[in-house]
Amino acid sequence: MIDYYIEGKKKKAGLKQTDTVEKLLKELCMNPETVLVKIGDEIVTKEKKLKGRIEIIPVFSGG
Amino acid sequence: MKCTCGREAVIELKYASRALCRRCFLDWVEKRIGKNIRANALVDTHEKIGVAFSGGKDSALTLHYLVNMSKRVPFEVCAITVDEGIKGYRKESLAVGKKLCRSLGVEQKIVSFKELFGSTLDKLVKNKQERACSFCGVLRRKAINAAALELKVDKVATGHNLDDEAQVVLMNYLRGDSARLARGGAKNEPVYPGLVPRIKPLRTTPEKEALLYCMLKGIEVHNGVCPYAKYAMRNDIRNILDDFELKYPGTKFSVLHGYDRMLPCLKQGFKTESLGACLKCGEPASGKICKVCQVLSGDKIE
Repeated sequence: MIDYYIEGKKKKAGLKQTDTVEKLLKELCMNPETVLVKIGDEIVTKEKKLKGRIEIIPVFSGG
Repeated sequence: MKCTCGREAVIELKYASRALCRRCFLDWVEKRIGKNIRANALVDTHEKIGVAFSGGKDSALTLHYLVNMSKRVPFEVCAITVDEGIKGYRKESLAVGKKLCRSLGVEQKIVSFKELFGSTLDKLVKNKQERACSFCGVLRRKAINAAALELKVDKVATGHNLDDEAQVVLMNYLRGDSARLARGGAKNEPVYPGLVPRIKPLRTTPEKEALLYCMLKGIEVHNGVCPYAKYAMRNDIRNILDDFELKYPGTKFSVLHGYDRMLPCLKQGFKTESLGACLKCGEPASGKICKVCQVLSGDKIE
């Protein structure tokens, strides 16, 4: 299991640290076009491994 | 994933078949905004531009970009912020917005629905939340225009991004609203004395890239979602376009470019209607009663 954060909430996903960001978004049924993913302090692309603090940032805001 | 310059990429742009590192990405976004401004002659020297500034990523990027541009080109920038009176949403974004204006040294004018119209949006849409977005749109346009006139600005710059624009095009198609389609574009020319022209510098900037730019530049923005947004038809359109963009990269640009090619014909076919004066308030109106008066009297907007 890995932990990830979205909108300040901590959640869990049934994946390993060796899995990728792409796999995480697929697992969560999230469209990669609608989120940014931060691992540690870096914004990362889809092939990055899930090592470190993972934060999913939804792109949409406002009204 | 590597950028073409060899550094680690922060984003993959499928529509452009490339990945970009932080430095190349910031440059990419700035160049595209600059190109849009030049191609559509959005800003002239010695003008005063009022940025419709909510504190969110799009208006923050618009403000940030224009302030930096005004250091190279002689024109003035100020910020216009509207407090609609939305509990749990607007207060937070106002605080973030004030901070950014202070750090950029920008004059900020805050106008509220309460002071202008005598009521907050929350009160106006009580028990009819599904109409919040159309009510808010009408009143916000009026509020921004009133502030723009008071500040004597030449143009109002809004933070509409590529996603917003593609959504509006599709929405107007689906509603069969050809007249409204004909009023789109990068620049809204004035159709009545007292209406300030509006420009859209971010029209070719995808929403995702506006957010990433702010994050990489360390621009603090308010990321909240308006509690009324879920009632809007736009939500469904956004999902459709995002799904298409994933499957067919470049869809949003295609929607916009296709629309831009049709726009001259649409403008020809739907000549801007001449406005009269509202029988209630005397402000510009396309019918007998202006939309603001319709909203304030609780009527359905025509």
